[in-house]
Amino acid sequence: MKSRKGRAGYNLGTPSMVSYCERASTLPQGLKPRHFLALIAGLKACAAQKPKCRSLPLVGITNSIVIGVFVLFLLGGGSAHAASVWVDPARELARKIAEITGPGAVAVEVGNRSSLSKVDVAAVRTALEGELTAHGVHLAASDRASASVTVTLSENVREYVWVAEVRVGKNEKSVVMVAVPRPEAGAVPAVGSGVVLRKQLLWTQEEAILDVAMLDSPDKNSGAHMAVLDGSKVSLLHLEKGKWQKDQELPVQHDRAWPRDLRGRLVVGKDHLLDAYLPGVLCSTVQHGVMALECAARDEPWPVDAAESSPRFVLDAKKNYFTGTLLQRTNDAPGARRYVNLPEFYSAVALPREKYVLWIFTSVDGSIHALDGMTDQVWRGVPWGSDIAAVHTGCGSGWQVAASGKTDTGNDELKVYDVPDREPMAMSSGLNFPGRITALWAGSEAQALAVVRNVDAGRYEAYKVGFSCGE
Amino acid sequence: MRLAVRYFAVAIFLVGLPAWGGVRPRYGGMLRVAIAESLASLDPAEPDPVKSGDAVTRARVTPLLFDTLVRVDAEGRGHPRLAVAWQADRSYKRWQFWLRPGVKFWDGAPLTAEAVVASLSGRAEWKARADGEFVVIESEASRPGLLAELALARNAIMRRGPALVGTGPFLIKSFVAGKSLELAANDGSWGGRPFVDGVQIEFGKSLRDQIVAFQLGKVDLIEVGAEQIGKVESEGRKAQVSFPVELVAVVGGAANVREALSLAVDRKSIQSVLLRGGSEAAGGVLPEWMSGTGVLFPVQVDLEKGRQTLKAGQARAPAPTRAWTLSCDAGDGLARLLTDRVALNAREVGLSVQVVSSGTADLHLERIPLGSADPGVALGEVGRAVGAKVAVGLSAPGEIYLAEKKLMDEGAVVPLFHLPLASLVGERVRGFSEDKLGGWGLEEDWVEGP
Repeated sequence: MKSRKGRAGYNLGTPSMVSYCERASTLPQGLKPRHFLALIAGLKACAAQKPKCRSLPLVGITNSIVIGVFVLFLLGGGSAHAASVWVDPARELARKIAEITGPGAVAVEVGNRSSLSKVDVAAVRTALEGELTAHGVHLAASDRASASVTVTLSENVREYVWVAEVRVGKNEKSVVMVAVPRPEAGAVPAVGSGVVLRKQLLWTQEEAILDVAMLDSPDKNSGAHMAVLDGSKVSLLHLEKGKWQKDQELPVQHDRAWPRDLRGRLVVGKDHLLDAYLPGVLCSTVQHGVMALECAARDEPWPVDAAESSPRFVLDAKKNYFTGTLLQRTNDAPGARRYVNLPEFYSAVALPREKYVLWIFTSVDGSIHALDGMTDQVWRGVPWGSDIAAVHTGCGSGWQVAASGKTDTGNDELKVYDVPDREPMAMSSGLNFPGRITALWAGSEAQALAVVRNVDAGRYEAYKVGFSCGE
Repeated sequence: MRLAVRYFAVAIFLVGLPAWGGVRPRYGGMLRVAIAESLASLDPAEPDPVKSGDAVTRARVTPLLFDTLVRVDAEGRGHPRLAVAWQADRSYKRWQFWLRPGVKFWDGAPLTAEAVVASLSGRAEWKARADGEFVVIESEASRPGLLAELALARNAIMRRGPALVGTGPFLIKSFVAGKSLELAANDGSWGGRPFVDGVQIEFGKSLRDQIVAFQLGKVDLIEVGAEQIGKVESEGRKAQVSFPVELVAVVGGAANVREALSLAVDRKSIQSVLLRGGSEAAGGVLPEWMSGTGVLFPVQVDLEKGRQTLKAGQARAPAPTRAWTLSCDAGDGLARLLTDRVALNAREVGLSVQVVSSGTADLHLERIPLGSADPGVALGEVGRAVGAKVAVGLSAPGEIYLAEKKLMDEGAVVPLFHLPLASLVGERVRGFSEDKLGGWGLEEDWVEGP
């Protein structure tokens, strides 16, 4: 089994491998009794479909799978899932072993040097023994066996490696092995307390995600639509059967090199679909028969949210921070705006108060500035990262600040703070993310968009974070 | 804890270090780095880095100046660098690369397919040619691991002439061969300007001098020897430790001598006394995290079997009993310590080994960087170092295992240990995260204060 699977992302021409039986490998976790009959029926149907299941030796194999799956089913739903994952490589290894031993009495030992759990090891052992039996091998104690097989479940950083050392009589030891891809882990949502935070994985990709915008559906019967911005394109997607499907990619045309810590913002347009703000570049969608993205080199101030009246910030086109020049609408005349000079900062939020708006900025020097129109209060030692977003939970004073921060594990978390008396107070426990938060933007009132760089997975993950009043 | 699990835990720890900790990077400041080896040239292909013994330093310094077409991570996945996409035919003999648009050399000249081909010319193993805006690489042998080969520092893309010109994140401000290198941030870097304004690298600093300079706050980043990791950590400092990426092996000698030596060396004991913090006793050329077949290369001491092996060899080809000479790099303190222990252990099986300083000894203790996370390419790098030919195009664990055994036989290699690379980073440095292979991505670092 080759281990080149991970390169397909950029390798435009490598043919993908087709699993032998999709039904067996896509069974949900947590099987219930009523699903078992369907499982058996599915496996038998699969065995009957020779073209799709051509690597399945028909005699005896189907029964051994069913027996193996049934044993695992008794151990729990997760075990049933494990069976579906391990059956294929166990069959391959059994075939290689049986080619050396031939039919007869064989002593088999299975040891584990990998990170597989006991349940998984048991599943592998069961599957392997079942497959060996199907090849005419009788499992026997070592003193009654004509051959001995020591199977070691090992692993390297890319895959599991199952090694079988086979000795027939007094012959020299033979070695056979199979490589087994690691199953992908799913994201687990988490909640805080006080204000409850929930995260939902929206999209994941290798290129850095800068922002995600939820779009109005073209018609009420169609599902949700979404736009994802990265440094080279805007991807338009729609939700189909619970999965986001890519409809179109709109390339971002630009001449200048992006800053290393690239930032970007998507804003839903009034008379067109989207505006994409990037450092020194503004792009807007246009409809000339087909949707396209027209980009121009412009140091356009960025809006903090999609509201028409929201203040706008000027991002340094070569860096990762806002210059401190704030373009704000005034009441002096219709459409009038004024520039306000502030310290250079990474992000800002506006918290509406009864008689004023409290502005909070995370400045480049690490301090936090809180401005209420009269005073500029500097907070030091506040455990906030660079990214903050305003959220309206209805708890406490109504509007809160969601702030990134670090955890003991080194990964980032998101925590909600209220500012009742000009000093931040934590209102939630941290919502942990599997990496560093690289973008945080306010969404609708009780939502935010967080992008995380999951270094372990080598990908960026965009999460919709929901905030609500808890207990 | 099982070895593999431990490495994954290390990996998770490494990637989970508070790289930024929720804080965005700041621009400005200088990074000061000390390195033990001395680079005589900044050209990563000249002289052959595997043979010149400075492969680790080159692998760390080269990416600051020059980009490769692709990068390959510890899991063997290819990532775009100067190439944004690639395609191989079914035989893996012809590869086509799409270049990243808009990339410029330091002098403003655009990166073209012709420039890439010129940089990659003269390779015996493949031929590169420009096909319009694409780069095509063809070889007679199937090369499924070509991406990993192209990711090696010696295949970095540059313009050679009176001066080296690259596309990397830093420019050469000054270079005194063997002594120092000063780099300045490349404002036009395709990946964005680095956060720091520059990097000052001092070569030829012994590990002891590096520690002293670090304690005095004169440098921000130093190397830590594998034998020092435990001590450093016992002092409350956290070393950044890679996967084991360096092979320590005795090379040379007759087959029965090598087998007897392998059975005699008490790797576990040496490891616990001299090497701590991520080292691995090695029975095979490749570390467990790379191959997953360590179980097939046992490291247990078996003195009785060692004696029998020597006797059997003597019976097959009678020869006067002789003392075998063993040498190592005299400037390498750890190598000297290991050499002494190997000679001591060898006597337990009746093998007379005498440690000498001469480079023409029968046996030589070598430290060989594996160079790549791709097991096939790593075997090739070890083969280059010991002068043995390794087949290309290996990828399945079974193929790798057989090639590994063959390399040990034909290259006369007795693997002893796999060592990690380790570094110590100053408190004012943020964003540092030594990758799993020991590389330094200094362009992603930033510093607090001036």
